[in-house]
Amino acid sequence: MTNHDLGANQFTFTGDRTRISYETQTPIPNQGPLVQYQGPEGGDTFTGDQVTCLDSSLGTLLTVVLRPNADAGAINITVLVPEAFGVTPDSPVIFGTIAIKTTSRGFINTPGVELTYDVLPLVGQASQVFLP
Amino acid sequence: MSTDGLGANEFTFAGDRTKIAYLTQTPGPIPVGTTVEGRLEYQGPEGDHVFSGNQITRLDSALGTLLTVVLRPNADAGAINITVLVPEAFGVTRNSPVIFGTIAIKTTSRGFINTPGVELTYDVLPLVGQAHQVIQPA
Repeated sequence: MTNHDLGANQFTFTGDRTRISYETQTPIPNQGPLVQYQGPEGGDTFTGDQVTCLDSSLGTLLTVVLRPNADAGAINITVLVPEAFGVTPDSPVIFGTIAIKTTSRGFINTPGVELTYDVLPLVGQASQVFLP
Repeated sequence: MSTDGLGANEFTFAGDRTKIAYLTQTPGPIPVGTTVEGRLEYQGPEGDHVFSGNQITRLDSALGTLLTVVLRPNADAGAINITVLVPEAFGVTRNSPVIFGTIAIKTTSRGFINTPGVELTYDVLPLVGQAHQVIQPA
């Protein structure tokens, strides 16, 4: 099971009205990562190439699309996932991080910027689990 | 002067005890050891710093362009970086800057320790940004 060099294969995040879980690999082989989101926008599950992982100076940026609407402005959420150390099946690591919701400006033609940002503080837990 | 896909060639950011300016290209004569590829000036709690060329890391992402510089390069005690989120600006002219909200994120790495934990901790700094289109001396 790949860890994407994150030091754990399962991450959970909790914040204001929001729960997110991230498994670096779905239980089904070759299906890529699995993200489950529950929050003000509803609940949704994302797998494979619906999940964008980008290595950056902020750690791994984990992004999914919560509202795919190019005209009215799409909403994405990006979770900052730092590499974890010392995670074992018996000892998860708890840490603080943030998610950033971006709203694109949609189909308008006035001066402005493409993205607006909302920051959501999160408590994260990095775990090493055995998957079937 | 190139806007490098950001819709403006000069960005300024102001927040708590912090001012940041970013030019997409270094203006004027190019000093030895630097390149034309951008200039970032930082004034904040970590002191005053000027970065240019490959001292500035640019990464296109779902968060817009991430501009990162190293404020304290200390691998043992933990380095401090700052990353500014820069969204593309539209409708910027020489007479009409665009004002917007964004954030910077300071990351502190854990340094040389061997206990369970994570590599990075995050501090979020809200910023007011301004995107300008300016004429720079060649």
